[in-house]
Amino acid sequence: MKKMTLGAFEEIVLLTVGALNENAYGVTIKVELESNLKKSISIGALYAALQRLEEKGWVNSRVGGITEKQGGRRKQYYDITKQGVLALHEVKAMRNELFHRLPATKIQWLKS
Amino acid sequence: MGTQRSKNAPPKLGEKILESFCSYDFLSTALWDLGEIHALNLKQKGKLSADIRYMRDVLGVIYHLYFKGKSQYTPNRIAMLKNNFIISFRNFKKDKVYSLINTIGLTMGLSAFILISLFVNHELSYDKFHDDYESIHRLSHKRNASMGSFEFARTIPISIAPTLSQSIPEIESFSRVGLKGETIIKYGDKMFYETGGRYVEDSFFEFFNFPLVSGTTEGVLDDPEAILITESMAKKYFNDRNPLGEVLTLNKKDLHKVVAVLKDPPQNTQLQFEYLLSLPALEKRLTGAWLRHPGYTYLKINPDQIGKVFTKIDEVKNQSFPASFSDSTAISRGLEPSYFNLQPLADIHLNSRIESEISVTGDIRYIYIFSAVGLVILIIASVNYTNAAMARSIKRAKEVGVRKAIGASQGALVKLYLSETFLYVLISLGLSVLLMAWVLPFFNQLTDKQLSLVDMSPSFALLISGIILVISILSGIYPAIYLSKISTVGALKGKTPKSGGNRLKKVLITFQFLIAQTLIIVTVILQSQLSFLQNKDIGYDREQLIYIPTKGELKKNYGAFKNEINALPNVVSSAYTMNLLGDGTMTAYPLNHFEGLEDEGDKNLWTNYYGTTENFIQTMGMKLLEGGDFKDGSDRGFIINEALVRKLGWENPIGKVIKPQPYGTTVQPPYPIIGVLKDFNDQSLKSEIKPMMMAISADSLVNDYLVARLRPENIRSTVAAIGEIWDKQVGDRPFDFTFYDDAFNKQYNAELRQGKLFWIFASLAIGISILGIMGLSSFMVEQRMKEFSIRKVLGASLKQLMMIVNKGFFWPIILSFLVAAPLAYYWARDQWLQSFVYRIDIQPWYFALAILGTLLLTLLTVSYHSFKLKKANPTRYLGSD
Repeated sequence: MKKMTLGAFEEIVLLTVGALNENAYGVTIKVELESNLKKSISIGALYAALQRLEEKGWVNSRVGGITEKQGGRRKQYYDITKQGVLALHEVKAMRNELFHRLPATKIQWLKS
Repeated sequence: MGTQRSKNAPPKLGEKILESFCSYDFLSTALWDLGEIHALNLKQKGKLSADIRYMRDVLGVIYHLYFKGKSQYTPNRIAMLKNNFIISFRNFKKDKVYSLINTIGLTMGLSAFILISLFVNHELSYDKFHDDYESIHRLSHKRNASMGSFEFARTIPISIAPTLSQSIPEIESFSRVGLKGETIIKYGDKMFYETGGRYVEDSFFEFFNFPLVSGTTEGVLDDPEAILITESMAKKYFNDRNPLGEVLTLNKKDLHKVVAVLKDPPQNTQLQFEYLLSLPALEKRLTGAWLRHPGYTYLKINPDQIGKVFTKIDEVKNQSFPASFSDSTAISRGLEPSYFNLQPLADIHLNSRIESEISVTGDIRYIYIFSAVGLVILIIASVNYTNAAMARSIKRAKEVGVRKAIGASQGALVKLYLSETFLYVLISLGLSVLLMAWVLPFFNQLTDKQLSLVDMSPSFALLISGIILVISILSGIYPAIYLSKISTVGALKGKTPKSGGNRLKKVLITFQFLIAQTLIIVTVILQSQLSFLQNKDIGYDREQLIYIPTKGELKKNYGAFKNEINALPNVVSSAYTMNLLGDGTMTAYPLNHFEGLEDEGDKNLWTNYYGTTENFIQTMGMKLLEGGDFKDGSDRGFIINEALVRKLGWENPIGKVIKPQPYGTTVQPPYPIIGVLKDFNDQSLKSEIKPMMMAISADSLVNDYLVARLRPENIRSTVAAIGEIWDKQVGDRPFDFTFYDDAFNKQYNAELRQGKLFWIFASLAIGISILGIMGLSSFMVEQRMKEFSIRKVLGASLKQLMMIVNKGFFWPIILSFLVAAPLAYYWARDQWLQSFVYRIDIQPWYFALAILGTLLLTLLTVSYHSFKLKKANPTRYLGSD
């Protein structure tokens, strides 16, 4: 099986899903993403990313909020899975490792 | 869902779109989320903004679903459609020749159709952009004289409109337009001839929509010194400078201040202009109640009242107009009474065929012809598609069998093959739009229009797409049904249903040949007539002949001007004249002015009168049949043309006497006829040669135009040298000249253009038909491969096999020719050639060309295909049984 990669947008979506914990569905994820990225996100792009994440097994979805009033509509909640957290961790570890290898003189820039 | 939709619900259309593109699971999720976002936006940004965002999100969701996401979230029917397209694409790639023929045919057909639609749509759009165009009517006057009756769009005195509108309350308002003749306009060192001057009044801008760019139109048309110019004229004289307030000098003396700049009139209006002047000021300058100054009169009348107004105009004409207009005057002269006509503004461009129109008109007949040709081309292309698809059905039979065996319904199969047709149409449409970008500039040059795909109105684009959709369904439906009907078992064995398909195929091919042959015959007739006109001997030599308008410009320099021009090495000869060919003054001579003719009271003979000077006949290259040329400018006598001799019925015209028209009270002595000229066409070949008489004067009296014959060498430098002489002798006026052959060809521009267009589209149609025949012959060969293989095994030669294939095409060609020949013949004779006085006889070889050409072309295409038979290995086709 080929190695599953975590794209930049997928990563931030996955993080957001994890951060929102119990309350991660389309709208909340979109709002959260927009406030963090400070730009507008297409809901279609978000769905596509969530679908890919679900396929890779990094998020699970469950259905909730079915009400008579909503006329058959429902919220689809997403939860991050263990694999998802591992994948995030792996990416983060790699980043950290690379970041720490930056020359000390350049790290200095952060302090000034 | 049953619940009442609140006003704040998301747009229904968006939900519908989502419903049809998403599977149930996903749909409900998307609906929830989008609904919540919509509610949020509703509070923050308002209803409209929220709705727009909602629609944008809907499209975004679908886009990402189909191109970035997973098909499991899409409903089945969409997935099936997607699969259908994939299958179609694979088939497309599999049989490249077939796909190419189909695509090329459809692309050509669609392109031609779209081009013609653009053209026709533009022609139909004339003067429909004015707000109130439906109630604007143009007044014309039909007058009768002994020489015939003419309807004039212009010769109404401009004072007629106020009189009419005072007496007839149904006329809501009027607006008059007068023409300003050729004018020299000067600004600084810039000086040009302008022909686009119009006199208009305030109501002009109420009637017609010509938007203002800068300045004002309020009340300025009462100011005799105001001038309103178009943007392009402003650019020509003032470049980037602000034109408002600048002063232009007209005809060297009249100063006019620019008060407004208007947008250039669009192409689709009859009321073209470059600058506007005050009509009321002109009216004041010309005194007298019934001015002879002609103008165009536009009246605003409710279309329902037209009949009423029409009769009222007739009453007013008899009561309030001068006696010369009244019915009783006409009747006392033995003539039909004259009457006024009203024409809706938007009808004028295509439906008016009267004299002195304000600008060149189109011809509704050509619109019909081109629409028909456009539709025919589209139909040929779709017939091709049907035929080719039928041809392919044999190859597809196995596929159908398998699909049916695993449970495809007939409906699903029809859908599959229709979607394939649709794919072809879509690809071809895309290609033709690309092609259009490349072809349109040429087409615009040819038609002298500025058509573009971008300017298409939405309703027009919708109509075009609608027609294309219908055509693609029509061309795909039969093959689709045909294929889906194949029995499962038969299909798996590779059998196709026998009857039905064959008859349709024969009908379609006969139809195609019918169109192709009709078009060939009509094209040949059109081209022959047009080249006949261009090459006809018109009685004078129009090559290397120029004329220069000199009226009133030469003062005392006429002699020096002419002598210097004659001294140029490449000028053969030159002469002054009062009239150019075509504008000889028509003069009515009482009959008793011609020797030997009885006076019949009021009756006159109309002839054209030419005032010329020495060497005119020689310079023009006209031929004298009898008698001789004038000796010099003081020679008294007439040279007349054959037409006048015929009219007078004189056996021996030389020496007979004509009394010149009395000029004022001076009675002039009669002059003898000294020569007879071979008839020359001084007007369009669409009209007959009129009687003409020519007299000679001294250069000092007649110097309105100079005609000069040049040697064919270095024409450019000769003309430049004449220009220098002009600058020396005249100076304060731009040099202007015209070649006679250009002026001549200009008369036929419209015809030549239509001829060329027709030729192009006819060749296109014929080309597409040939493509179709190629497809069909491959179909026939393919279908009968088994039969041919048996024949081959039994010893049939290639020649015999080819005969069999060709025979299938022979009878349809003959049959369609029998219909095409009379169809084309009667159309050309009764509809088109009618409008020419000088016309060709329709020759038998036109028809022979059509049928032989079709036979030959078919033979070649079919034989090329049946050549496959030679290489074919019979065992391959016989093996399966």
